[in-house]
Amino acid sequence: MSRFRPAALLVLALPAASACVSLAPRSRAPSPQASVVPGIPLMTFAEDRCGAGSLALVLSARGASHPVEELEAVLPEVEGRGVLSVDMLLAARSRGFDAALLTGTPRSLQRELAAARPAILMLRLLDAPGERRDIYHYVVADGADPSRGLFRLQYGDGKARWARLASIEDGWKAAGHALLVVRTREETDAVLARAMTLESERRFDEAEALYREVLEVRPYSVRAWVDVGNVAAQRGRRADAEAAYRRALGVDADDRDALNNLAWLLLEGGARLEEAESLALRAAAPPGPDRPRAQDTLGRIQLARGRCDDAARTFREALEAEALADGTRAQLQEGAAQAAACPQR
Amino acid sequence: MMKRSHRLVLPLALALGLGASLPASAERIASKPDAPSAARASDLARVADAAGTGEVRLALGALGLTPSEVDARLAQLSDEDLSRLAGNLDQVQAAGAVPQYIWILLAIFLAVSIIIMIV
Repeated sequence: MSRFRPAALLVLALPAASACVSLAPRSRAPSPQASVVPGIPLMTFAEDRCGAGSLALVLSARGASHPVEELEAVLPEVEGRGVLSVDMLLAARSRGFDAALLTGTPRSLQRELAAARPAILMLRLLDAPGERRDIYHYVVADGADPSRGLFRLQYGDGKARWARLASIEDGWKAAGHALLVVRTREETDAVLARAMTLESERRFDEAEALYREVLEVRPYSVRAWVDVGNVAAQRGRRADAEAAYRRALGVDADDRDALNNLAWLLLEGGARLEEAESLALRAAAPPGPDRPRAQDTLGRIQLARGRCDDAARTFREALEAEALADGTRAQLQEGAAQAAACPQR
Repeated sequence: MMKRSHRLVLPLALALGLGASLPASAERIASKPDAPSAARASDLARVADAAGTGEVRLALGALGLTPSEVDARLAQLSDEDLSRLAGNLDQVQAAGAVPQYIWILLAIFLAVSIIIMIV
């Protein structure tokens, strides 16, 4: 590899460019407590391949082998600029990973590295006069040394640099503190499962924090949106719950859980019962194991609206289901009794 | 006075009626894990609706992408992605290329250095 490195070029070009340059930081000595993502290699890639190279490095640490050449073929270069941060995000997702482009902080970077997940930072190396001339570079953070406030960075030159984030702050800040985090689906599922456990233990704040962590990297998860709504509803934060259920419906307009739980929320609120019934009707329409629950919601709304005959019919149909959990059956029978007793208004 | 009484009685009656129709054991459908393939297909029709789309569209366009190239990317981003990016447009950037002018500056610098060394 006889090609010049960008840092060398920038140093040489500095006097003529009258520009602001951020060079790779000098490495400091880490403490014995420093840790590096297990198995991650020190990687060298050509300077115009830092997008594909850094993503290949991160994905390899996640157990997936995607050669630089393969990623380069799907990461189109914006002429004279390189690979878009957005394309890096989409490339990770299209390879079956959960990913997010976040506004990074020392804490969020520490969170990733503590879980042995390397992350990609985008840095501005050169702030050149005029537009469209700045030079940006992707680097991989793959280790942390909390006791000395150091992070290990790979610039793609085969060297590991232990540095404080302060030493790259100017360049990182100029790139909006862009931090690309990548997780395997199994890791995200585990976080979701942990959140559900916390919710069942009524540790709602912790559960919601984890649900939202899931949504960071998996924003299309209807389940996680519904789960966030459920936590918010249980905390009495009705507006937040409604927003979360509606967001779930934005991803999948026919999701039974979101339709039913939003209908239930509106019923509890005692207003907008017409909309609640419309939602519950949609929730109760398709077959499936949760259909009786949605029919129960529909029947309750019809009762609240004074439509006792409709409610009676809804509860009766629900009770005809072949497999009903005891709790659901009792609930439906109780609703049917209410419907039979209520005078048609 | 009569009207005021009605205002008080009506919500109370509604509340009592609702209370009767909501069983103590009733719950919303409980939280669940994700489906095996929780992913979202591209939705070009949705692009125009999401908040932050306009800002991100402009930022991508300023980098030299054509409208169709911009749309192709916007269609794959979630509302949350778009909102996050719109709130921090510095992240909409490309990295990894050494522009042509760097090579020209380098050539000039080397030429000047050689001349100085000779002279």
